[in-house]
Amino acid sequence: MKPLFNNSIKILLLTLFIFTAISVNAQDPARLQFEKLKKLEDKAVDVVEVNVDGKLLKLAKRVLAKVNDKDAEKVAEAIKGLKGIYVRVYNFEKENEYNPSDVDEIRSQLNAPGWQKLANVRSKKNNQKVDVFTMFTGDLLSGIAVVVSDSKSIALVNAIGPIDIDLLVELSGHLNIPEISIEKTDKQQKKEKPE
Amino acid sequence: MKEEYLWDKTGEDPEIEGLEKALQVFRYKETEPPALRSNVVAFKTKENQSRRVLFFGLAVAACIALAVLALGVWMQISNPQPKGEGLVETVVPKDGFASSDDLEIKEDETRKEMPIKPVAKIRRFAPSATQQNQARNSEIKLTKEEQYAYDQLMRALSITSSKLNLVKKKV
Repeated sequence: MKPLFNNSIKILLLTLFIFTAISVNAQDPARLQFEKLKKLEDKAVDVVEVNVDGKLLKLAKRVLAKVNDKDAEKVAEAIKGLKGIYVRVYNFEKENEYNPSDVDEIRSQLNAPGWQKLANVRSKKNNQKVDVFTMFTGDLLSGIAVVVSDSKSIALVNAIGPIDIDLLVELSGHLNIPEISIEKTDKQQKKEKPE
Repeated sequence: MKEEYLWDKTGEDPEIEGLEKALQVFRYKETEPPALRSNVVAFKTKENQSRRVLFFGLAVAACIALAVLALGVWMQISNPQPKGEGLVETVVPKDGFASSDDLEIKEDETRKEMPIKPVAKIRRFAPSATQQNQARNSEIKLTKEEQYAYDQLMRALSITSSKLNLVKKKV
């Protein structure tokens, strides 16, 4: 009976170990963890949270293929290899309403091996920080992360899989990609639209 | 009665001797142990083995069940479903933005009809491409799920492109 019990324990431990290993490896290395930002939802006046992956993404790609439009074709081409895209935007009413360490935690995830800094902007005005990181698997882009924060807003974008950044920038404002400006303040918008 | 005879058999004690003689038949005699019967079976080894196999099988089955349970929990954790507390809250209806009613209906329908993953959460100032997309896709017949998926992707891409534009301007 005792060896039987020992065997059972061994099998159980082995199974748990295998599942732990699977769960660790299953997570895409380019995927950022946004869970810690959940607490900001209560503080923020505007929250945008978009997760598109798996079936939803397949469905959207299928629709893109149906749309008879040159821009749609370009978008479809730009996101052909995309595996998932995750967006978080938090806008706050007052300045410094969030703890900068919350965003730093996301930035610290980008210190993990594989991530390469593409752009880094620091502006004293509004304490704006802009970071763009990319991850490559061989020669292929396997992930992109954009972290934009200032005193009143946080915006995070995490795309998994190859994506044509230039084409996406070029298509901004075209097709069904409206050129929205969540990060812009009222003053900035007034400047752009003089009365 | 002489004590010595009782202890070391020195001297004589007819009473004890008489008792010894009377009980002589019960004295221990060193002989071979009795032979076992030929039809006695010492261990039922096969039965024990089958029981062991049964227990082992049960243990393996329990492990598999645990593993399946762990997998289920893991999948549940890794793909959290939207909570039922309402995905959409106050949406300010302004130019080009969807009304809150539109969005709520959309989200509710989606929740009922497509048990797909994460989806979106929007609170106020949600610049929705829904209306534009619906107008543009009016020629193509899309299911609600397809329309929703398309809108979500476009929303994500629009934010991404606007952020990348911002970076481009800054750099």
